[in-house]
Amino acid sequence: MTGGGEPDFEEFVAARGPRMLRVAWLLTGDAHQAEDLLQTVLAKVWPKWHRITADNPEAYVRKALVNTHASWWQRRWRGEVPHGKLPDTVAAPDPYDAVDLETFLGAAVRRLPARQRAVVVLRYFEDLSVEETAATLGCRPGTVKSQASKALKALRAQVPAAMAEGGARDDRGR
Amino acid sequence: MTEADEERELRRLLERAVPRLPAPEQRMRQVRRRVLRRRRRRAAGLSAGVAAAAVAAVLSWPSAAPAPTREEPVPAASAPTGRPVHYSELLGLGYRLPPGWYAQGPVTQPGAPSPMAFAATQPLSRRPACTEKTAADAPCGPLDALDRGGALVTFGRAPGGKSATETAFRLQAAKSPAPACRKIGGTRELTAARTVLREASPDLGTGEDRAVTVSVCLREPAEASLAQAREMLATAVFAGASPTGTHAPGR
Repeated sequence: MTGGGEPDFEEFVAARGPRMLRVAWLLTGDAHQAEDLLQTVLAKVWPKWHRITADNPEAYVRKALVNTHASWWQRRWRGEVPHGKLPDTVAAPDPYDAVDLETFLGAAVRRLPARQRAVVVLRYFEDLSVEETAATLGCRPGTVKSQASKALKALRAQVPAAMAEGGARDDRGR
Repeated sequence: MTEADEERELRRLLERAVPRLPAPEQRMRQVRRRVLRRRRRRAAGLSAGVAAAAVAAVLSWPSAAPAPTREEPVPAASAPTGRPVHYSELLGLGYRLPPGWYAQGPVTQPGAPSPMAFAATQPLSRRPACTEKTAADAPCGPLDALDRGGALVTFGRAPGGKSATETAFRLQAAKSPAPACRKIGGTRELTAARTVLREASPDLGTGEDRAVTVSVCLREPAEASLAQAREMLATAVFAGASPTGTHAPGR
């Protein structure tokens, strides 16, 4: 938020809500749960908005998303169960098709342990630095690096074609 | 392919793969509902303990009351149910300050006939925001400007009614904010007053000032702050009063 004035909560939600919802989707893997997660966080954040806006409201909301999702994960409220195998529907995907890529990569990210998933979301989707990711997760930069490395290795094993060739195919498609 | 290439590729793939979900039209309304639901749940939990806590607080307060709280921020973590605040100058009014709120008073501000106390969602200034000269239209308060979404609760004294039939502050919406509220950017105001009858301690609340007035000045949208103010007022007790009650606001 720029401009020096106190960012209004509703303006923030209108401006950043779509992006935050995508972060929530990547964390939960489900559109309804993503909206639920986002609303839960917004309801927590709103009462203290006037204090949050003094710092970086987006970073605060992002951190709240990750932490709230982690608490859901720990309490298994969402009934989310990690699969040993990817669902059959994505066993032989065409990762270059946008819809299949969503299913395929989304499922692969969701198979990651919660910590690695959070690192992937923050480092590679939100494009935060190692230090910013560490600050958001409340851990050391070294932990972020190691978690990111493990996550990349896991994703590489699950989506090798997409990781290796997706960019080239993507470029050709433009 | 190096790890840096893979990272770059993953960023591109994620950007493509994560869907752009439509926002429900009622998102803000839903969030408001959730905030209110959380407040109600918290208030319900609080109210169970409030009766016992209020009695204990009244009994524990000495007849010579301690110095009033002045401009002390209350950390959220230290008092999840709010810290007790007590003002002997306001007929022994006591209440629980919501976590994160600030309290000040009682002080006699320029333009005000009697001491006033304040509670707000933002830090309060010790220095009056205006002088006697500039306070001609409205009594000075401890704020130059109310934050958007914030609330300033002002307690004062008034002549009061002759009887006391109710036992809580019943906030009523003012038709328009009073000048003191408008002056700091308030867009909405609710008021209430509560008559305090004293049988055992006639020295408290002598003269005609037998009521404590309360004004809640809000700068919209401030549903969450209003919910906190209501919770705070629901904890109000008057040390040594018997019985207590409310009457309609004086304006």
